Amino acid sequence: MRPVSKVLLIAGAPPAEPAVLEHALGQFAQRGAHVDLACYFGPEDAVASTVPTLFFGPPADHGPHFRRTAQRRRTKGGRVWLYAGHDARLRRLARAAHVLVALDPDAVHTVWQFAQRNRRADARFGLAPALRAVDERAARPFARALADLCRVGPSWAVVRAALKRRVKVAAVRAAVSTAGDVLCRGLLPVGRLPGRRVGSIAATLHAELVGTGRFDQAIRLDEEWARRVADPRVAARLRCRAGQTQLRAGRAPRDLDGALSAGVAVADDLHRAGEAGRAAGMLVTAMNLAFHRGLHFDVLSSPLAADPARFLAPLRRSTAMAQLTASRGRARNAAPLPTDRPARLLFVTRDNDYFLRRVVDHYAAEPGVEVRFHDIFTDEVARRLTADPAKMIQDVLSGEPTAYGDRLDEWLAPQLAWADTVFVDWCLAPAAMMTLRDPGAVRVVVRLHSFEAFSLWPQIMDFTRVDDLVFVSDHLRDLTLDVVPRLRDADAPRTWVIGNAMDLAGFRQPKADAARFTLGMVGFGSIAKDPRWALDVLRLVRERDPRYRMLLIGDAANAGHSVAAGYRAAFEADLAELGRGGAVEVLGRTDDVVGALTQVGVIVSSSVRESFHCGLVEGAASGAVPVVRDWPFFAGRAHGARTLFPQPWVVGDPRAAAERVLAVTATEATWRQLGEAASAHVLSRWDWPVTRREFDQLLLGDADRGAWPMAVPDSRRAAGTVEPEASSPTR
Amino acid sequence: MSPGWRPPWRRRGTARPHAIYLAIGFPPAAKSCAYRMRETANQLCAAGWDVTVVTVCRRAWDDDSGLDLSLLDAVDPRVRVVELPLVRADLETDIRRYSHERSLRPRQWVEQWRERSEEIFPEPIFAWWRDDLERALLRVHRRRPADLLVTTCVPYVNLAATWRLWEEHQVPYVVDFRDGWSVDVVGGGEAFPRESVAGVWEQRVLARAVAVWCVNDTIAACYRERYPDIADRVRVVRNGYDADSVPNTVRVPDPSAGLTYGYLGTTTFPTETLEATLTGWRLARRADPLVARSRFEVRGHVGAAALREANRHAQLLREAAPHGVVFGGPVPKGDVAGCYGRWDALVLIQRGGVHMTSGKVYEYMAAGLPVVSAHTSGHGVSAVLAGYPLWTGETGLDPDRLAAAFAAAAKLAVSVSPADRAAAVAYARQFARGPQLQPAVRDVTELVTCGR
Repeated sequence: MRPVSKVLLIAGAPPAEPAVLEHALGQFAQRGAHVDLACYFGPEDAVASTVPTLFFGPPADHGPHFRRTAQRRRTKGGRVWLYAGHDARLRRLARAAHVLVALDPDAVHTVWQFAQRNRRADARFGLAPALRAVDERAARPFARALADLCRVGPSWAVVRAALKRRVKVAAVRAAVSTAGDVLCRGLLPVGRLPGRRVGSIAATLHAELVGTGRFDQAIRLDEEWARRVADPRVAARLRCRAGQTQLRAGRAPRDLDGALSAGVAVADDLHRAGEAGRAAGMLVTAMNLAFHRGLHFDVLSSPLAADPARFLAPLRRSTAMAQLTASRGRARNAAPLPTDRPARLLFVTRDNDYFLRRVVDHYAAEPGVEVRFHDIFTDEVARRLTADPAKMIQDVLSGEPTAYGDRLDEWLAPQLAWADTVFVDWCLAPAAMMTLRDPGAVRVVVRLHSFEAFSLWPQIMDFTRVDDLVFVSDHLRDLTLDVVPRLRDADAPRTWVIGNAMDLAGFRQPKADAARFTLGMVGFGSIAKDPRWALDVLRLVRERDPRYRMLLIGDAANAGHSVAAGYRAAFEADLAELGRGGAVEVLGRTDDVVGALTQVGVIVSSSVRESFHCGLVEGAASGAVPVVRDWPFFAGRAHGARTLFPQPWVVGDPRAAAERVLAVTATEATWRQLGEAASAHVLSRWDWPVTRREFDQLLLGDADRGAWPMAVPDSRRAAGTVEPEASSPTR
Repeated sequence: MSPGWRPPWRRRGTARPHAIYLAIGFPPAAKSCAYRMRETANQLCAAGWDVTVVTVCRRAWDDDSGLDLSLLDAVDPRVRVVELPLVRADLETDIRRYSHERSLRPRQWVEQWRERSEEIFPEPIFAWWRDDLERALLRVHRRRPADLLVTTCVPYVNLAATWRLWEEHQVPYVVDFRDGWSVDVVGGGEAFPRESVAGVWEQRVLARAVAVWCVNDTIAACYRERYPDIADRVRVVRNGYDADSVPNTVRVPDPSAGLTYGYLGTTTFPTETLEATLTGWRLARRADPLVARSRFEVRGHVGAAALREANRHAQLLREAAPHGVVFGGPVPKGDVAGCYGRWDALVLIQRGGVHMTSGKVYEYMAAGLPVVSAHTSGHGVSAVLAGYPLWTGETGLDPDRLAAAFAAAAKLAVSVSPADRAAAVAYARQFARGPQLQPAVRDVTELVTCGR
């Protein structure tokens, strides 16, 4: 008699082809196999099957630990296994099965795991391979039975892997212990070991040290081994990593300039040796350190903003960077918009269309314009093309066709074939990708908001292939031109300053009298917003009049790295202190910002840097009187908060801010009058009907669609020197 | 070989020369290209070459197109076959062979694997074979120096091994390009520009080729236009049909019992094409009583690896079962003639357009049965079928027109006279595979060996 094969089919999702499954079940039955079906979905999605079916999933009574574990499983396959492995009925079936079958990709990991535990079973992906496995078993029953006898218990490979893992963990732990630290750093013959080996051991030890919070030891290890290792590539990597670790630990790197110079020098050597891929990788390593968020974002000052030339000197000395940023230009100029058919605008962004949506909607409804919107993040091919700056750099440095370049050409060609104008929002990877190829007659417009200026992307882009570069404020334009001096060259793109597209009129809502004593902030989650500065203002105001309070609208701060965590702790202590007296209310994220702002009488911008500060402008539009810190990143320069907004709005320090708060809210009449004036001012400058005309000028040019405007009149960007509150308020 | 022709070395009395034939898909792989490869190897043998075929191991085909051992029966016994232990990792269905990472993210693993492969050679999947193929050719050449290398693509990574053998040992080579590389036979137009990595490879390898063979005139024309320098070396070598695929006897249709329509081939066409065909079939059954009594048998490979006979095509076929559609799986080469012999009319379902001719169209015509065409208008097979008297004509993929074609084929099947059928078979005879390949092999033999 033929032995019966027990088959366990596991489905991680409802079957896409139910008729196929049904037919296959019939074929298993014809072969006399016993089939069980286990489904990671509910009975409502089940196929009409004639086989015993078990449904498994999150147990109703799982505790918080189990829930946390499930949340940590980032793949669906991992989650399916978590629940399958915890289901006793399913484990029993898997132990008894001769053939374990994954019906879909989500079930593969579960079958893989069960197969580690049931070594006798065949483990197959798909129905046809499973049927073949059943046939093969039936064809050689005795050989299989004999083989199965030898497969009791876990395999040697499994035991060896587990043993190796444990030994490695023990060795690493011993090595990074205090005594081991001395041995590792002092006695290991780092100078005589091959560089790759040193890099590999250092990586393992570094991961363990950082994982256990021993940042100092990790930094010392990298720095010391960098001095001793013979291979300059490994040394440069270790130095850059030491810098990054210091930033993670919340400290300024001890030798940032040295680490950058070492990385760049190695990249230059590799470039000279024709190793474009490695040179690109090293440049990215160096730039990841140079543009680390711990240096520019999660702090209250930035060495790049303070002195761009000095900070970027190592990069500017690099020959590889020189080739990377050399003008490649374009064979022809962008063509004027056609007059015989609608203009075609292609809007591109990557996972953030917040500032673009209004503009896209406008042109989508505009007759005479065809619009396409492309979110790179939702396009698998484009997402991969923009995922790795090293690939882009390699494409330029290698000087010959690359696989990356071919994929890029394939993706880009149809976009450029369709569009007359490509508008790339955010000067990030998609913008850099666009400039890798000559756009032909297509006009390329890129908008830079703010943080991109502190990233590597403008450093690696070829701006001679960008026709127009749009900023949201003059001071960001100034900073970007300082950071990327190529933008001042003759072949650089035209620059524009156009405010963000905002519908401000809707913010004008009646305010209650009590709002006069409420200071407000819209957005306080990042360190750059420096909400502690605003709380200092509140303290000073309350010393004079305890009726004042503050409303914080938006997400709370993220911990970020250690500096951010330190700031956040101090901020929370401030909140606790002021919150006890009811002086501060945290509203959190809300969809009804308009409604929240009706409670705010004074809108505060306490940031160290802003490109525009939409939240402040929305508050002003609501009729709240603005109090704007002279953003320190730009204070004292040609442009900044003082030139963007009317002078009286802007203050230098918390004391001046407190004085202004008290002055503008001295009487209800004054407060309401100044609020009206502020609202009228921002609506006249930045409401959508105004900015729309500027976008029309940018994207559609003259009405007859002749030549593109060659320059933006400075007068249109004139700073807000006209005082909407010229008559000085009195208390 | 044509009577009277003798290879140059035989005329001179020298030893038989050695040809390496790099043919991935050589029998017993149950692939459509296996027939052409088998014939090429046999023709080379007949032309006096000692032939060493380099292909991949049988396990490689388990989860791909499968194996058909009957294909080996007609391989010249003098042909020596070297099987390389190469398999397509993306088609692996034994989960025990998966890494932990792959088991967690099977789809992403394959995507990344494909992407990484393009760093090695501009062809996803097969690029990983480059080193092994290069080493294998050098090894075979070391054991017995080759006088000729015949390389057939796909996979195109074969070109890398071909080039390596040329660079190191200047072994002259023929590229049997079949459907070409830079020609997009499915979508039409250019598959990649000359400046791309693939473009550079193609240009480099073709420039030194002794001959470049393509399966039809349009593809050959594309290459002549793209590379004028090698225009005189580009030659059309059609696929043709194999004599052993032609049924000996013709079935007499029984209208009262209904007819049997047949499709034989690998389902590489889009699901939309299959959907249109099946809709046309349903409409025809509704409108025509004879078709309503008939059945439509689909044979061949559907899907691969985990999705073998479990993809959307399979689902559509299973769903159509109540409408007389029967899916019967693949047919061994030895049974192909018998299969045609049981059918009354044929349905030619094809993907692609003007550049595509396939090999099946020749076999269909040789069967001497009415042919219904289910493919886009202006397709390459239309030009071949134009002279075939039992063709119901080009209908595009409009279900109503397809329904009319099914009905027309039914009428033809029951009304065709022996004389008409003989005329149809006579028309097809010009496309026998042997005569297609013979002159090409002979010319290359002359060219390569005349200086020995």
